[in-house]
Amino acid sequence: MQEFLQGRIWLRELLPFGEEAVEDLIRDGLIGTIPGVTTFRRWHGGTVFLCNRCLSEDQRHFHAFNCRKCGKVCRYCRHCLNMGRVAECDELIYWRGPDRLPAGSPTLTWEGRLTLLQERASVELEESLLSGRPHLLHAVCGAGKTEILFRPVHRLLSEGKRVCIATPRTDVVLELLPRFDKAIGGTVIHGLYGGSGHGEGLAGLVIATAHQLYRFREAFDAVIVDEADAFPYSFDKTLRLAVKKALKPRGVLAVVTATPSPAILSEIGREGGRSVIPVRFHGHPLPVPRTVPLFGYRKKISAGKMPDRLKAWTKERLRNKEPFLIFFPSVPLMEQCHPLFSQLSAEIGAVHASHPDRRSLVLALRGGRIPGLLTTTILERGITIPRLQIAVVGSENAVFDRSAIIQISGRAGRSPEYPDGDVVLFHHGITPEMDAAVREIRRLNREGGKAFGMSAL
Amino acid sequence: MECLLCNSPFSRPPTWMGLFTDRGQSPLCPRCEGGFVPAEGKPPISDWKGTPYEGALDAAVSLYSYNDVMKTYLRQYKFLKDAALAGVFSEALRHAPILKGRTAVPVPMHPERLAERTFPQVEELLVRAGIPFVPLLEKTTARNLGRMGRKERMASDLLFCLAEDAEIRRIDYVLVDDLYTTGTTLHHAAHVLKKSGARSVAALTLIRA
Ligand SMILES: [Zn+2]
Ligand SMILES: [Zn+2]
Ligand SMILES: [Zn+2]
Repeated sequence: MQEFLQGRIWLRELLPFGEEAVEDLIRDGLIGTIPGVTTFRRWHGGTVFLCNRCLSEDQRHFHAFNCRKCGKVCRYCRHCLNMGRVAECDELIYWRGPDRLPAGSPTLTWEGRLTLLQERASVELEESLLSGRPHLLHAVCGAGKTEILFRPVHRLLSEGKRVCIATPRTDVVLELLPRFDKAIGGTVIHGLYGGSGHGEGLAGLVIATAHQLYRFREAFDAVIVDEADAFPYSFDKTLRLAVKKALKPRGVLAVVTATPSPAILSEIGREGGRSVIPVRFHGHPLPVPRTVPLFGYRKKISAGKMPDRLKAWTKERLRNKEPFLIFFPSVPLMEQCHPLFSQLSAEIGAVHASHPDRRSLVLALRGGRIPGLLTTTILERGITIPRLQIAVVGSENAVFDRSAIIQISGRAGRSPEYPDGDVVLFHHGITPEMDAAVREIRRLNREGGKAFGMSAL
Repeated sequence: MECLLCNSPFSRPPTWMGLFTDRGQSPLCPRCEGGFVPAEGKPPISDWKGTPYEGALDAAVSLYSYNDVMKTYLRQYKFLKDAALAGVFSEALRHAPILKGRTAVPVPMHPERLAERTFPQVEELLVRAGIPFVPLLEKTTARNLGRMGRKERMASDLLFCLAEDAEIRRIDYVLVDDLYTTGTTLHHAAHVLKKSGARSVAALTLIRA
């Protein structure tokens, strides 16, 4: 029971143990309880609610209803609803006995080599984490961020510390889990995401979606937030609080990102360590997106016609047999376009967030079984396809902000054999975000050029 | 605002009505809202011909079919206990013609189930829609119909009895439930009302499975 509860905070009625055993441990003072939702009276009147699991205090997240369990008007938190509803009359449970160390002696089985820049970043990150100082790893897409983490994580685990790598999405957890399993042996690693199990034993390393952090409390000596820029609303307040809550009081935070936002920079602060890797591991610059006007494309598409430039671009990809991704700002626009693309090639697929075949279509593209894929922004991360060419339709839309465009561009030309890739932003007017993205990519490439002693674009 | 089902932010064109009341305003985004599909045809109450419950129900109507969006809705409403979703179908329920001239009776939950769920899901739909109702029935078994076979369901003992102090008049009633699957629940409930003197009993369910 301690293995399960240590570092966790759990809804009492969902505990996988008998009520009697729980009762005993509460009496012995080994388990603490707090109400699911706490009410505060404000000095100038009115009450505010706080969810003790996800720490949301956004009042819009709380819904009041006539509760037949407590017989009162009761509030529950809608923000973390998916993990089992937490209401005022529910109890959350946490371990308050002495902590146990994760079992085993971790060994680093990874035998790959780091580039000089990766090596430096890896050492710097390790130093920060060991000295308890926050760290920012600012690395462009394709810089080989995961490899940089192996040694620092292994080092922490060997000292008996518990480490969590938090990412925004399940895909990333699924991608990282086998890589860490392979790289570090002799330790228990859990992968947690919506719908996963809870893992057996006490894990030294937990790789989890950030939302799973809501279920932890004073659990980790270090939390590494990966792809921090990919969080909705850039690492929003509740998630930041969740990271804080999951950390032990003297725990340390590291953030890995390609595009650090002001919020992230302020989180790391001045005292924090910082490593920058401005080039990709194969040393080639990031493709700089080019902008191509596609004025009035919505009208054209509504009328059932494919804009000429978009058609020409797609045909060229098909002719050269280059795999391509075309990003759309919304599902309806993408669905309108799909039949038009089907006229060019019936095999072109389309995916969006709730698409059940998402993964298999992406794999089909990687395997060359389909020529290209239409997608909404959801696919922008976590896939590497050699020779990939990219177009964005409607890049003036707000969903394509600076960070999204940089991430999207990073998908092109990711393999050493084909470092180039076309990235086209088809637009109805250039936005400041598009400008900012292009400037940032140029700047990173310049710094990368210097670091490598070669001329960049 | 944020969609209650998929959490994505959305805005809707302002209306004059909307300035004064949230009546007629859906708390769901247009995408989720558009995902609900009207039920095809009426529930087949004629399946019950030749059983002891034949004729217990005089009419039955379901509003929506049980498609993926509806499954998501019901899962979140019942299993995640998201009481905030009770108001999603208020408008549609209010306008259901079968309610006209009939007194609504919600199909109740067993007290044990109710304590687990923390709110009576069917009653809550009516409360939020502002539809008056009388709680005339009580559930006698906590058993789950879903676990019984069809034969077993049709032959099982009465699942309901009259609530204490319930007074059945010679008027037209309409039972309200969330789901019409085989119709066992509704036939049992209707049978109790009929036996106690109801003139007619109809059924309205949100969903036809
Ligand atoms: Zn919460
Ligand atoms: Zn309550
Ligand atoms: Zn929605």
